[in-house]
Amino acid sequence: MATSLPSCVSATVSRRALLRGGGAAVALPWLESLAKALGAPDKPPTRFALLFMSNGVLASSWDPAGPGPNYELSPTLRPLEKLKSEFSVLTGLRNKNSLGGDGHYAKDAALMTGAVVKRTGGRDLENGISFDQHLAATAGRATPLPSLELGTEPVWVMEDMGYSTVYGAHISWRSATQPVAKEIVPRLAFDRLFRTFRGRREGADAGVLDAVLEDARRLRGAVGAQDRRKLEEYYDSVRALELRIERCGQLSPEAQESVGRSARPTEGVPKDFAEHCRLMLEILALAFETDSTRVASFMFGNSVSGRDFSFLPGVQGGHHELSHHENKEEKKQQYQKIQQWHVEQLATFLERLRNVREGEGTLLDHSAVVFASGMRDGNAHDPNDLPVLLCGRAGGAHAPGKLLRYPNPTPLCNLYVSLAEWMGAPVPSFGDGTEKLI
Amino acid sequence: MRFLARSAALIGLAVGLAASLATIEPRPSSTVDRVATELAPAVAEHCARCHGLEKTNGGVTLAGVRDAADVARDRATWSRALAQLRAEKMPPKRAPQPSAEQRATMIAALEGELLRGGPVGDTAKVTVRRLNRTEFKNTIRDLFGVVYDAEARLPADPPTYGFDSLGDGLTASPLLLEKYWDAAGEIADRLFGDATLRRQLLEAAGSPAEPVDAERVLRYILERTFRRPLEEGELESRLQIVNAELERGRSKDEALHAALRSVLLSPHFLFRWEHDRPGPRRSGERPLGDFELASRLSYFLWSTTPDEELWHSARTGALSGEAELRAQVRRMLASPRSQALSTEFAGQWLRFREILSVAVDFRRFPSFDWRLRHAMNDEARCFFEGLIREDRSILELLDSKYTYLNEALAAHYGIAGVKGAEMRKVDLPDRRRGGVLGMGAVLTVTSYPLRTSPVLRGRYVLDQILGEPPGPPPPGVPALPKDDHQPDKLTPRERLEEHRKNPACASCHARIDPPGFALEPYDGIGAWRDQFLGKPIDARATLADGVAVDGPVDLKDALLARKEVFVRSMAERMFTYAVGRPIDAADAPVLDGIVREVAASGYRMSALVLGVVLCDPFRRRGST
Repeated sequence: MATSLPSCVSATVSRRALLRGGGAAVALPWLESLAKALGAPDKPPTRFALLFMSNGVLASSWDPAGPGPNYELSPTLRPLEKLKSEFSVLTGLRNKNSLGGDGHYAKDAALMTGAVVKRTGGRDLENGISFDQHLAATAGRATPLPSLELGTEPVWVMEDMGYSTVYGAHISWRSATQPVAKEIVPRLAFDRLFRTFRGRREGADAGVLDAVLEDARRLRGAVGAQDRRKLEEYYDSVRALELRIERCGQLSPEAQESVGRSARPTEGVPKDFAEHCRLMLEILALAFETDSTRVASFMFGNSVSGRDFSFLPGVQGGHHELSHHENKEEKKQQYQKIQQWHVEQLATFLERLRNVREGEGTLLDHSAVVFASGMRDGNAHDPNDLPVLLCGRAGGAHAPGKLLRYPNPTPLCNLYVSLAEWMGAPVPSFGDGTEKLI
Repeated sequence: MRFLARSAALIGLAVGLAASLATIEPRPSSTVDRVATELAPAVAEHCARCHGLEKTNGGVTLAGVRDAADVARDRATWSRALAQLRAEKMPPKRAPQPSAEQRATMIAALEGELLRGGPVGDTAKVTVRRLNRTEFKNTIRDLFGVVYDAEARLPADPPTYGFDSLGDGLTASPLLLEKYWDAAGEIADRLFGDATLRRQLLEAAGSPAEPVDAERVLRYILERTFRRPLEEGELESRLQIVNAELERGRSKDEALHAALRSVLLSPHFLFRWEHDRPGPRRSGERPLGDFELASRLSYFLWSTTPDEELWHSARTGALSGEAELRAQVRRMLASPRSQALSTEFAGQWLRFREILSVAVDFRRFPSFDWRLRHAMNDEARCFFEGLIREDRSILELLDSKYTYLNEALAAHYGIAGVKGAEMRKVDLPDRRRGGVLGMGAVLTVTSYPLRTSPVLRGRYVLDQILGEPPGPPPPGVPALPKDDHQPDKLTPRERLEEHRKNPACASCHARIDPPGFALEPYDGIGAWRDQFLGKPIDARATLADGVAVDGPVDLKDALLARKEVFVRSMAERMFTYAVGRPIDAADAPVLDGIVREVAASGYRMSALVLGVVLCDPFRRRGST
């Protein structure tokens, strides 16, 4: 077997050296012994994920009671009972720049960007770079995949309430104008993550991509502004592919073992939505476990998702229509059950991370998982006091198990300022966030 | 500088005019300058206060317009003004309004002038189109004979303005590039690994079997994948790959394999670029080159790359001539490849391909199995293919004396005498079927899993058939129950009538619901029913224009009475699909022209397709 290098080291190896030499960089679980042997930092890396839930929450069932560590879990959060010491509830947070836009799209697309989402139904999308993509461009450089974007619902493009539905299908934005496509098919996500990129014929790959990039550069001068956007996006994606090939070769035996423990998903999208979400979150967990990426986002649904939740006992109808509960008791109950179901999926995911030993602690200890929605009460499209959970210890930066009440309104983006520092990619400010929250 | 820029624009305009006069049938002209006599005074009265020389709201100046030449000089601005006038967004509601007559006069004057210079303005530029999944698959199949399982390996493309082949929605994410990387490898493996495919490639490229003329093969691959002759340096850049591989001691096949992978990842293959070559960076509106036109035609009618004949026509420079263009369109429509127009264009416009994925409750509708699903899809698909193949009247989409059935679907419709699984043309015994509104596919995709939806069906009639889609519901509107078997025993119709007592809802639903009520005799999977929940079906409705109907036959007659609206709606959809962008206000005269020609032809399918192909926006590229 060719020389094994952990992925964090491989990033510094030049593409030519790897491709010419036919060497294979590997993705593998963070291993203390190996880290020491190679003089790498003796601490496992910190991972970040944001899990997005559509359509807000029933506030009365979401808000926990009581102060500090002895607070009482609300009905919606009860599935997290056994994990109470592993997460904090954050209240009083607001995403100021999402206040201007009505409906869902401006709030959800801005959840991780903290930017003003331009009201347009057409081609001229404008948001901001999202927090995960800021990390992808910094912390993400150490892993085969800079970031992983997962979801469950496809994109379709139309205008709704003056906004392009493209906004509502993406919380990750590589730049102000480029949403990051998410993978929604479990098998494709799995294969993408654990595929190999050995040169098909050693030596040829560099030339193949060089010619392609050269085509794109020559085109630049010949196309107008509108097409240049498409060209830039293409160019960036070829560059990303090039990096991917550079950083990712064969899976090491250790990583293969981790992957082998979970079966490769079957083709297509599971009919059972719970199974669909479970598979996607399992892939996310595997990605963290094998250190294939340290940055991820997951959308349980797109903005305004009308997903039929009738599979839950006592629920009859679609997510969005039930979110407009009109304060009718029977609708509110159904709406709440949908959030509680989401929290159950979160609990399963957190336990999955907690079951992985890593260094002195667990994978969950070395993660910061944010669970959030772009609005509070879906009936009112209320952008204040957002429902936010911060889970995991973020490598020791966060001491979970608390109810953290912030004066309403405190910038949600302050959380990103904290997280940026924890992830080793500090920023002086993000969106309207100008100081650390925690 | 200003003067120069303006001169350039005027020259561009003159060139455009000359080109369009040479190739397009003469349009009605008028010696009266309606801009001077009618538009200018109205602008002074209604627009100048906010869009003047000093106060320029939105950066727009309209004041001071004197004559047609002023409008011609700034077509982009006036196209926007036209759109605002048509949509009644300007003047704003708080300002004094022009009378309806005055507004119509302004619109007519602007349309007249914008038509004259060709309808393409700044707002009308087409975004470059990436090959979508279907086009990628078809293109690879037709170039190399390799059938790549694109449905399983590439992500679906998002529909934009109703179609999944429009540039605005076709992104190129890192995820996608990884998949293209894999696809390129697999396609090259299969092409060079299969003796027959390899031999066909060498023959097509004109290379001897031994020794292989690598340069010749490469040139052929490059030209056909880039869909145009090569520019300087393009062959050389890929020859470098070949030579580097040969120097590494690899075979010619292996070297060509690497070069092909690089070609299949190239932006020139994956996107359909249209730009000036050679020429200045920023170009004005211009006629498309022959090869650009060949690609537009081929992807419009066939969802694939130009074939030998089209390629030849482009290379000889014949294609941009109108007679040749007509001949090519007729040839292409007659080819089996025009089935793509049915599956891709009609399947998305009329939404029948959704039947393959729509959710139906199998407990409520146990007869609805996969055979029936496919039969419904095939009925609609064959019907549209028949319109193309036999060049029939597009009004048959509203009503026809025949449809396509197999045994399962005929049984579903209660039509006797059809045996076997294959689809065939069947004359209908009565008017309950015939036309898309009697098709199982359409009636099922406009229903919920457990019930019919007069709202969804009404919306379908307004949007798909009449091209007058209603707006989205206001927030906070409750939906009807998902199941129509509720304790209160109300039919969906009765429930909707309750809903319409709310004036906020009534204004839109008075338009939406009636066509849906008329279709209530079809159940949630399109089977005929006379009774529901123990009550006779009430299919009476008064359409928004005051016409009273009772049931689908009346509805079809009412729609046929408005056939020009339907034709216009279909023309708009086909225009968007073909040209690659949504309709612009300035396109109105072009569409009017197409509708006139279609009517004059007796509503033939070929007249519509030709109208779209021959119109300026299809044959010309907007300014940048």
